[in-house]
Amino acid sequence: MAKEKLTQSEIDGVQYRRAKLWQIILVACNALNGMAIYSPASASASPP
Amino acid sequence: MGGLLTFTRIFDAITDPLLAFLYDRVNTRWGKIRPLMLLGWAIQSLGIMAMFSWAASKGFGIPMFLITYMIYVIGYTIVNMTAQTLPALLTNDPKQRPTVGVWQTVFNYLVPMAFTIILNTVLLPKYGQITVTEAGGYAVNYSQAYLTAAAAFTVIVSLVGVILVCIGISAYDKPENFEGTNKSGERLKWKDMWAVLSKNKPLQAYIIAASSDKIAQQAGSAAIVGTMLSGILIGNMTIATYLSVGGMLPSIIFAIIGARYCGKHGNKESIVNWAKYCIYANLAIIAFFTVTWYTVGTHTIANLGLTMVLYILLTLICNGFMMAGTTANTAFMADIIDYELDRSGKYIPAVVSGTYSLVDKIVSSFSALIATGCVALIGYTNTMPQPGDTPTGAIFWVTMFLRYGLAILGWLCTLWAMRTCNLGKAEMVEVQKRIADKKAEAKAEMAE
Repeated sequence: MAKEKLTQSEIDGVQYRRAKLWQIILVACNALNGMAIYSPASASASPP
Repeated sequence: MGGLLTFTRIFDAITDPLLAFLYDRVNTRWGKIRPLMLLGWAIQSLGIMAMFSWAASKGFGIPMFLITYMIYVIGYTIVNMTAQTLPALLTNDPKQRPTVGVWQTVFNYLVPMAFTIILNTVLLPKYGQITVTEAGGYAVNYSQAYLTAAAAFTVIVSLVGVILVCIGISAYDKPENFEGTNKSGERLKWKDMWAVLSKNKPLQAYIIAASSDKIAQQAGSAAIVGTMLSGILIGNMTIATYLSVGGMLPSIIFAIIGARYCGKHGNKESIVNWAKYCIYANLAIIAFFTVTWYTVGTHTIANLGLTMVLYILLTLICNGFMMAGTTANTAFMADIIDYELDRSGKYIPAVVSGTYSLVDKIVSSFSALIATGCVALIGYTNTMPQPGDTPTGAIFWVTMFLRYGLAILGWLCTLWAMRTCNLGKAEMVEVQKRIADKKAEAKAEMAE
């Protein structure tokens, strides 16, 4: 029988708080805010 | 103009710690993060639309620019400061924490690429003025109509981004996640900010490490350094563009490798080890350039051959190692926030990130001075280096110093600063245990 892989919580003895993947991806969408403002400034500075 | 720019830099630096007080005081029935993100977006959008459209091309001059820029900085700071507290809020699992930075890296590459394409292929032909020059090239006039359209498009896309963040964080945007472990529940005071700076040793180490890296990397990536490297020594400016585009995927791969390395070894250990690897990689590229300069000439890098292949390979390795280090830095900031909760009993993520940001912005504002100062030392006092200038020994060594040598000094500062930092993998496990115990104790006392 295959040995079950221990979670990090079980290894460290701490109940960690874990996010779901979709939550991490949505939070990373803050780049749409920061990079959206940065991009036009840099695009305008260097014509095509 | 110099005084104006200096004022805007100082204003940008001091808003971070000041708005940390706003972060501490906002607690609504919709949470803390979501109202702050939306408020920050609204203020920043007001600044952008005023700067590029409503108050633009009307002859209001510098005072209006200053006012609209300050409005933009306040809004942008609220959003950015709040966003920097999210990785710590999402997860405290040491294996998962670094992966937050990986996804941020992916979007930080994809969004500017998509934006540049849309702006240049959709908005510019429609609203800008493109004319054909006598030489057969193109001249672009970024008309007011184009700036208005670009500003409106930016505001709409940034709103979409902020809404998506609010959806993603909604499960964690609850008052109990912002409570400290001490019982006083006092409001944030200025002395708390001073206590963070003076007593949080990992934060002190991180400030020295990250600021020295940033000042070096900003000086090294200054436009004049790029001109000297690609335009003069190599003799081909487009190679930098190809490297920038082609280097995206390897950088993302290294971010993933960096996240896995952090999960296995700890964030602090990762920062130290990747700093060492970065030093070795940069020494290797300096050695490559030196041998090439004294043998076949650096202009051979512009032509398809061994020197071009080696240059591309070494650059991708250098950039990749830096990206792995950046992933560790992002996760380590979240560790510092939790360390402060354990140390002082106060959950003050905006104070921690705002204190770092203040020092970082002040220090890195000297990067332009370093670059222009070094270039002035080799004779460029009234003019700037131009592509096609004759490559000289002075230009070669100043370029090597600014592009690669200064970064090595930054990483040496990192190694020196981190040697006194005890917040390694094992200690972080103990920090999380203590926080969990203190929170359980506080909950039990409240229940009584």
